Amino acid sequence: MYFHSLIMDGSDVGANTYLIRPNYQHKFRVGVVEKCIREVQREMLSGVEYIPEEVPSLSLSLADSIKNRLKELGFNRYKLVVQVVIGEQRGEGLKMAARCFWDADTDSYAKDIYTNDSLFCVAAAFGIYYY
Amino acid sequence: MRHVQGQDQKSQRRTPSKREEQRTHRTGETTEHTQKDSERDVRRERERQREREGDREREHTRDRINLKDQEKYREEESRRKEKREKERRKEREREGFRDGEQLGWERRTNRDEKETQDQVDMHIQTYKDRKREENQVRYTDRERDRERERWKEKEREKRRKDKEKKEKDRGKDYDWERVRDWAEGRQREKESEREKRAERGKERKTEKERRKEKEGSRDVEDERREKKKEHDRDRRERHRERERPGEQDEWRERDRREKLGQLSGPVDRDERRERRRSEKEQQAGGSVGDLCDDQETQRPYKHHHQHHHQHHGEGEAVTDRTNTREEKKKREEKRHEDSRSSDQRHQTSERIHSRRDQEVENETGEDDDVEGGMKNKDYEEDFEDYEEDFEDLDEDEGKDEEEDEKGEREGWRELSAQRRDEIRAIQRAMEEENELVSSAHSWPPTKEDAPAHKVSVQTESRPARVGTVIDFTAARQREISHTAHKQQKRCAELLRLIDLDFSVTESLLDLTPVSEYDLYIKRFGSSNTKQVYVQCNEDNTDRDTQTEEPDTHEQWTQHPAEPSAVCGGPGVSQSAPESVVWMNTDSKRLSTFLHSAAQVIAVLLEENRTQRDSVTTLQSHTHSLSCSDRSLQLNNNLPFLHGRQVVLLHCSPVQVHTLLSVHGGCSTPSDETLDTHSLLCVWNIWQPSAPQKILTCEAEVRSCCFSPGQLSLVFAGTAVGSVLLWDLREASCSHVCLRVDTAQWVLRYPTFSTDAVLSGAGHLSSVVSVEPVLATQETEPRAPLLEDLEEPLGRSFQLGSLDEHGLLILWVVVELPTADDSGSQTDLGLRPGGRVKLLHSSSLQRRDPSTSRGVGEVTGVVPHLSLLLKFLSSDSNHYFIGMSTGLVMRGTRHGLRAEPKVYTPSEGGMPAEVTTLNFCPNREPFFLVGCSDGTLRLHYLLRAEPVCEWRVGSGGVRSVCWCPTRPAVFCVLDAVSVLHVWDLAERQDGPISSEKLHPDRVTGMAVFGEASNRSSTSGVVLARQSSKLEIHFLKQSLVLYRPSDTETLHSLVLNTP
Repeated sequence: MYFHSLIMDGSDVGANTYLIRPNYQHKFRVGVVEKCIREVQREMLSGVEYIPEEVPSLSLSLADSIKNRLKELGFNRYKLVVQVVIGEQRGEGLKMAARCFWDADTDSYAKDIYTNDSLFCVAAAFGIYYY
Repeated sequence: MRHVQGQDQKSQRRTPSKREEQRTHRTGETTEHTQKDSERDVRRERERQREREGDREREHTRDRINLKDQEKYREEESRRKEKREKERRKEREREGFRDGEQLGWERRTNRDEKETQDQVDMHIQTYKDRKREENQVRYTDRERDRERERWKEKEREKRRKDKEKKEKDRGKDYDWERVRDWAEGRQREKESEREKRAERGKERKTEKERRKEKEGSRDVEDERREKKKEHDRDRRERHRERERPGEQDEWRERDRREKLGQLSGPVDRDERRERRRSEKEQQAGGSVGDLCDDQETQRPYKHHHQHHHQHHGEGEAVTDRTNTREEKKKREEKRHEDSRSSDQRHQTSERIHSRRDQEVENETGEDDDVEGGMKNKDYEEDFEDYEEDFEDLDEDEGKDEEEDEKGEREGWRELSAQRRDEIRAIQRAMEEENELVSSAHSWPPTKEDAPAHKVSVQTESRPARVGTVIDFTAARQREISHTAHKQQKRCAELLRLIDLDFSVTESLLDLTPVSEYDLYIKRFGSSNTKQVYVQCNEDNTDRDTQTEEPDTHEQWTQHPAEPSAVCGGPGVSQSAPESVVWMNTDSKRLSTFLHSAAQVIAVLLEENRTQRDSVTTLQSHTHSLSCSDRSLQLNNNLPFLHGRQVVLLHCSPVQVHTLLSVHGGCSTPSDETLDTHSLLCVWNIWQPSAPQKILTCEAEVRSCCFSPGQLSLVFAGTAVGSVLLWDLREASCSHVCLRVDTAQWVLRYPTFSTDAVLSGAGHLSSVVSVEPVLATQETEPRAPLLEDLEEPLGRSFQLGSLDEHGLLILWVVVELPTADDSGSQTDLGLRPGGRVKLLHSSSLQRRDPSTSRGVGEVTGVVPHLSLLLKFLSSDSNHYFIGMSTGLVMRGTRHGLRAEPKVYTPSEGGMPAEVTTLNFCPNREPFFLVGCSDGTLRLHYLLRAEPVCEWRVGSGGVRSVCWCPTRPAVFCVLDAVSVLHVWDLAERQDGPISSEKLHPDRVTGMAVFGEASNRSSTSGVVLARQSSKLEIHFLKQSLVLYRPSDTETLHSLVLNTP
């Protein structure tokens, strides 16, 4: 199991404009992000088998492309953290959980799980509002 | 160490006693003191110069000629240096210092007169120089020698210049002696040499002096001095810079020492304070100061040459010190080539002594430092960069400790202007920074408190200090700290507005482990499986819905298809009964329509053709007949009709256009079976090209007739005594098909035959006549055609058949409701698939004994033969039988009596066979009887005797036919093929026309015409011997109905008795 996370600035940090809440159209919408994640996963993982040598780069590129895709959605003043976990499906049980210390009004996260016969992939995107 | 000293001096300045000191300086004593200092300076300068020469430009320094000039330079330099020092001091004061303490101090110094400062500086400078000189002396023996020489010269100069100061001269002499002695004492082997050199130098110097005195002018030398000064200044500056790290090292050294426990921190401090105090006191004590100063100035020399002289008698402390000094110097000599650290060590050791010996220590320590710095210039160059890094550390330290500050200030003084500017700028920046970081960076108050700080101070101080030169990391850190500060502020402001909380622990993925069985099934479970069924309606999960069972019906079909039965089954009637019925009726009507329509069309086409043909072909024939106006020929030129003679012609009384011709056996029999058979052809006279149907039977047909109401049945009596029945409605496919050339002919065999089936009840002789018997008497054939169409077999009828022996059998024609293709077990005479059969109804044996006996008795030869049978058309219960004796018997069914029973010829006539018997149409009670002897009799029903009797030819009468439309007209064909036509209305005694038809004899004749339709045409069908069939249409005069005809007939009856 391989783990990659990328952190990037959502946008320029405003100087002293204390926008405590994001605009409605810029808010981190879980549905949109989930759809985006799902699309990327389907694109990159359909028909892919778990090959231990290739999966690190795969997960990295997956996280990268999800991040780039999310950037286009225009979540202004959001810090985005994308986490991708790819594991082999061999019948083992697995539990993954996330816990965040954040402002529940503005911050949120979206995830999607892709599974096929040989692997599973959990991609979670956290959007943290930058005040 | 120097810091300590510096501070001491500064503190001196600070203290109120400073002013006193200054005042004392202003006195002559002080000037003397300064002069002494300058003297030392000059010495030092010389020393330095030589050092330079020795190290770098040896050739130059060895140039003794210039020595004197150099000395002069040095004098000048020393003075100028002092001035420079003052300037620097002022500059620095202007620049200001970081600490408030410093600033305060600065303020104080500003208040002081500059002169005092200058003096103090001079002091320091001279001390330093002296010290340096000492070190230099130690450096090389040669140098020392030279130094001594120079020293002497200097002394002399000074003496010359400052004649007032005798004390100094003395001291200098002392000094010179001391130096020489000390050198001798220390290095015996070189002593002599040195002595010589010194003397030599003395000589030289004296020469120089002399020269100087002679010339008295320094103009040329001044220039040189100027240059040298500049050069020296540069070097010194550099040296200062290098020195400062040295100071720092001293600090470290001291720390180490403290650690080692040689001196406890507090004690050290106390000592220092004491020192400071004492110095102040010294300076404060103006009168004593002169002496003190003097002593101080001489001390270095003193301890240089201690083992020789103890002039001043300083006491035990002094002796101790000198002892240790000597040791130290020895060490230094050994190590002077070593690394810098060793120097430092030496310095530190010196420092230890200096602390014990307060008065002297300040000066010597400083001198040591300076000297070390000079000595190790080369080494220091290597460390230059490194040392620069530590510059600011001192400054930082200075904040906390006065000592540091002072040392620093000393360093400051010696920095170049450029350098200072730089440092100033940096300092300013650092001050700002420090203000910010002050809270974060808490400096250790004293070095003593943090014994392990030797390294940590270095590292800690670095980030702040590095910014002075080229420091990106510091700049970045500053940036970071700056932004961090901003963010911190922002955070503080925002956190009041925002609530941060822990989110609920969200499960990102929860994969349950798969059991081994499931895994196995997942991998291998799907092999050897196949899809059994597919469930539709998947979304309706609550119901177990499967595909519905398909609907099935049992049905049959057949080929070839029967008219109304192509397919069928139990369920068909339920599914679409209405449409089927409708279709059935429709098809029936359609078929009948087509049937009739086709007939009509065919007839029309045939008519057109026959009309065209008749014009040409039948011209001769028609003209031959006087009674007819036109004629046509039926085309019986068929292959199977060749060679067959027409035996009988029969025209249907109901359907006038239908003609039945009976062809006998072939005259020239061949091997074909058909040749022996009789053929019956059903013709439509309007379709003369071909017969409608061809019937066949094996026996010879003697009589034939149509069914009365309809033309669907044909009856025939055969010579073998059988009665045959043909059903014309039967499909042609069920009969034998004869191919002749390209044409197809269907030969129909009888549907029912009485042969052998009814042998017991049938005819035993040939059937001479068959006649249909209408069931009801009232029946009138008014519209027979229409009746036939309406009810094909509606009215049941009987058939009477008569054989030669007079047995009359009546048959009931029965139509079966369904046909049985497999044939009937009971009715063997019925053809398979036939639906009409004859049932024996009754049989009548003719009995007329009287007449038959009488005739028989008369003739006695010829038995009675029944020849003809006719039923009365108006009452079918009455039948008439023509006998071979010329008599006509009248019989009735059901025992009715009727008169007369026998119709006889006129009296006196010879009996002859009755060949023909025909009733008058239109139900007139007349009938004609033809006999074989050629007589023709007209009988009235109620009379036994004939009404009229004619004699026609000799051959006998072959056939007699009434014209159906006119009762008074009839045609007679005799045996010699003469056709006679009677028209009783015209002529009653004979025929109106007799026409002999030759050469082809006429074997048969029939007349057709419609009785009910009086305007219709009527014609005579003639069968020729050559088996040609000709139709002659009678003239309209003969055909058209005349109401007077019946009257004519009746009048004839009335006329006759």
